[in-house]
Amino acid sequence: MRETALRRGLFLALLLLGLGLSALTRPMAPRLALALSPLTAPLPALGYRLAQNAKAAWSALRNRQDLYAENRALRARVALLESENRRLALEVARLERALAVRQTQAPGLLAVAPVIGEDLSGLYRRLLLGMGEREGLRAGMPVIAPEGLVGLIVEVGERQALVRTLLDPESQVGVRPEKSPGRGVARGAPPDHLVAEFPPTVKVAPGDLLLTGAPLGLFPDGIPVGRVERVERVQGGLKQRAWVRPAVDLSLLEEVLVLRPL
Amino acid sequence: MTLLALLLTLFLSGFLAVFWPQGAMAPDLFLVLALWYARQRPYYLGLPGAFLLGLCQDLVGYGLLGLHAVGLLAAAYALYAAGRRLALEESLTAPAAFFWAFSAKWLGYFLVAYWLRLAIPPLAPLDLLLEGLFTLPLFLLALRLRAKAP
Repeated sequence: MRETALRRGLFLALLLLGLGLSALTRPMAPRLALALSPLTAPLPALGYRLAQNAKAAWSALRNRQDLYAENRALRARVALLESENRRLALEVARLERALAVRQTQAPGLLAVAPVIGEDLSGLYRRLLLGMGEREGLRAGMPVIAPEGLVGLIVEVGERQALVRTLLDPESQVGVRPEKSPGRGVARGAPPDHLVAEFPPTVKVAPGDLLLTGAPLGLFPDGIPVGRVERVERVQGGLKQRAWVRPAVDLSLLEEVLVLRPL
Repeated sequence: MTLLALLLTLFLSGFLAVFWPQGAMAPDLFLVLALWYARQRPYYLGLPGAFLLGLCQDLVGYGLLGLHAVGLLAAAYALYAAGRRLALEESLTAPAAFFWAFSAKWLGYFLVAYWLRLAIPPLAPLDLLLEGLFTLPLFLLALRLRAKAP
């Protein structure tokens, strides 16, 4: 009982002290607290600073993880865009080639066809195109590349077409020298040459460019066929034979241009 | 041990200020320390101890001297009163005693506010409840530490 009374008494005394203290120091707050803060402030300030540093470190770590993820995403996006850019560059180059041909051969251009294969026998030089009847290709259509003549379509399937190139031994192309009159016929001489025969009166010399002529009626006039490498007289001087390197490197062809037949 | 606990409380109060979410009521570490001290000391040490601790809290908070002192004094007195009727080491009675002391703390605050005719800040009951709920685990932990101490 006595202890309870003492506890109550102590509580009341401290309560009054607290109330009195608060009333007395009220005009001085928070100046007084600020003046006395050196007694209490260092430890909370230490805790505060440590927590701030820890939070900053955590934030930096998290940001770094974010940056890593963002970097990976950006790398993937750059790779995608580079791939797209390459595809578009190829598309632009293809269209430029088609445009160049259209400007020179228009309105003869029918299609730009991919080369999907070639004859591997070594006996013939033929190309397989990835387009066929469905795309409007027909036998007898000339096939060219921006650099010059490629050959002639000889067989057409629904989705494929076979091109007999000017290097094929069965190929015959009417040709003429670029800078002098006269006509001749060029036949394929595998693996990588043509042999053109001219009358002895035609002026042909090594280095001359041969173009298609129209006597056989298969190709438009003026398409580059190849460049003369050497000239020799045959049949006792009744003919001259020119060895010609084709203007188009067939092994590098990825796509060709198909023209409407004459 | 008591001094170490006080230093730890001061340190943690600064630490918690950074990590605790803005706008949420943080656990009252000084209340935990005052109750922990009162629980292991007789009233003639526990009540002045709580009062001094409250003064210290007032200084740390750059507030009105006496506000927290009266609050913690009331909380410690309420804990002594609860301790006479409840076994605080039991799992069900300890939270009840804590909320009794916690309510007394706020009653002390309101008493000082009324005494000085202070404008009472707009406190939502949910905020008070959350402060109590956040503080309770620390109080129970402090009780367990006391129970394990030799």
